Amino acid sequence: MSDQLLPRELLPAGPPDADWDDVLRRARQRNARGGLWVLLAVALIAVGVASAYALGHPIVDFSKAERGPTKIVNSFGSLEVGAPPGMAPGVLPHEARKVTSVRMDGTTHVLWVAPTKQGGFCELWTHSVGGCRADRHDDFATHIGVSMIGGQTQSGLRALVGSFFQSAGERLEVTYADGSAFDIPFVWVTAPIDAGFYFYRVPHDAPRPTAVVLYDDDGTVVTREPLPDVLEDAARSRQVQRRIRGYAPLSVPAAAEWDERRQLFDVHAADGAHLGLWVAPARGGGECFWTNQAAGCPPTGFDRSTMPPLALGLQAGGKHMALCCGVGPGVARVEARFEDGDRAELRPKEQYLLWAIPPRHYPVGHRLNQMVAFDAAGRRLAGRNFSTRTRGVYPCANPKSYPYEVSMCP
Amino acid sequence: MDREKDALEKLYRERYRTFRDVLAGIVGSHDLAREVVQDAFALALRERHKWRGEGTLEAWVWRIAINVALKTRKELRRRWELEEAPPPEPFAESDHDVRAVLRSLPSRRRLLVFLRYFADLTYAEIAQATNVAEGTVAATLAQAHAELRELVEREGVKR
Repeated sequence: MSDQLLPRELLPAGPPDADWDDVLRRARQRNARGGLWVLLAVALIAVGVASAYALGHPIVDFSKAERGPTKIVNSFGSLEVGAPPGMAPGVLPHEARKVTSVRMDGTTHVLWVAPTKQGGFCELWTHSVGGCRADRHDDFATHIGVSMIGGQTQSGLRALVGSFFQSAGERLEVTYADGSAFDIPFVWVTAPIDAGFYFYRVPHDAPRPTAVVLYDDDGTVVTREPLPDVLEDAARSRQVQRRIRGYAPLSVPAAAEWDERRQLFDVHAADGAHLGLWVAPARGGGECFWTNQAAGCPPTGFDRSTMPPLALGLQAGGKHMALCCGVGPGVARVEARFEDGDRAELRPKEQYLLWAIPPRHYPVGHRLNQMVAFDAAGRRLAGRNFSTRTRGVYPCANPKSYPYEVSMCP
Repeated sequence: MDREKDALEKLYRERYRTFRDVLAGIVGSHDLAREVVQDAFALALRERHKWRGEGTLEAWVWRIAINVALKTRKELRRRWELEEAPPPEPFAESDHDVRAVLRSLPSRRRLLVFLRYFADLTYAEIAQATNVAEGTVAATLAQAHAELRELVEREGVKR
């Protein structure tokens, strides 16, 4: 065979992308990564984003990334419009950009990120999870954000998805219950986002992931985020469908001793809904409760005497609104106070309370704005204010249109 | 003055594309091959004191690069978690030409062919780069030549 049989043209030429300075940077890094996880990251991150590899993981230049289409802008905008007063993330929806994408089980998940006014960001993985880290200076900013996507796997987990602010992070790792550890590919997104993002598929037969760990260039742990046992959590919170004559189907804690149930409240809402609150001993100790919209069993060791005086919240159900579910020990009476000066006296039973709010108190100007707890002697134990301007909470006949194609009750 | 460092930079600047294009045949794409080359030269820089002048500097770097590429390919296949498909072959689009014939060679033999005819390494340098005896290189290449000749004659491939 002659040399002419193998002309140089046989090897398709790649782009002129030599970079000696990059070699020098890599050489300066004390812990050689062997290229493996870098390459995995490269392999898993879709081509087409403006990226560089200055530090061994892809860096996405946010300013050059593809802008979000209207649908994405509206998705981020709805976070702002629909948030309760004081809880809006301050997201800038029109700044949303495409950061990267991964494929899992035949589905492409695209990561869209938009900055917030406070220096944080909101993230949205299509067909998956989303959320906001509005402020990079709060306590949570020192944590690694982890969303756990459940699935029919040995560990009960299908994927770990999240982000982190720590710019010192050079290597991200998941540790498993058997002591093994594997690198998680991630991308770093430049200002104004300045955060790392990852989407890691948990292998089907992997043991339980126990933590996500971020290391700096020297191999020192920057942050370690322990992961709960989702199978244990799921077992504890598992619910079963039950029927009780006269009520819509109920989701009842599987741990509740069904035959020993007792009904504490029986309420008819103005829209015709029949509401109830039941309790039953929990297998393994403690007590479970359930209503038409809520259910739960206290965790092992929970002491009901430590309940706060007013562990009550609004429960929306179709066209009615209820107040539910717990009060602290010693609370004999709860006074519901409304914007229009109206008041209602409520009597808890065994530290539980369920009350259907009358429809006249749904419109703005008439809503519940305060609750006060009293003991049997009439002494005030605690008070709690309620926001009355949160959109989308109370039912209404005619929802209003808001920016970003959001439609909801005022 | 750091002679090895200067020599490595010179080698990189002169031979980068050859390294990358040959290694693409191992790891499956130019993007991945670029990472291998960058890491391989970075590793060579860090460990240049280990090169004792036995054989050429280029052969020593090739050995490092091939090891990085093979390890990468192995790990990619083992841990390809988000995409079930294996990494793409760089020549996959050419089923009826010489590239396809080259692709049909066993990977080890194909690597030697690449190193000989694309990287222009001598038998001695290939032996050093791949950690096999020089005689084995010669025998393997002769075998590869024969296989390629037979394939070309049988398939009548384009050149």
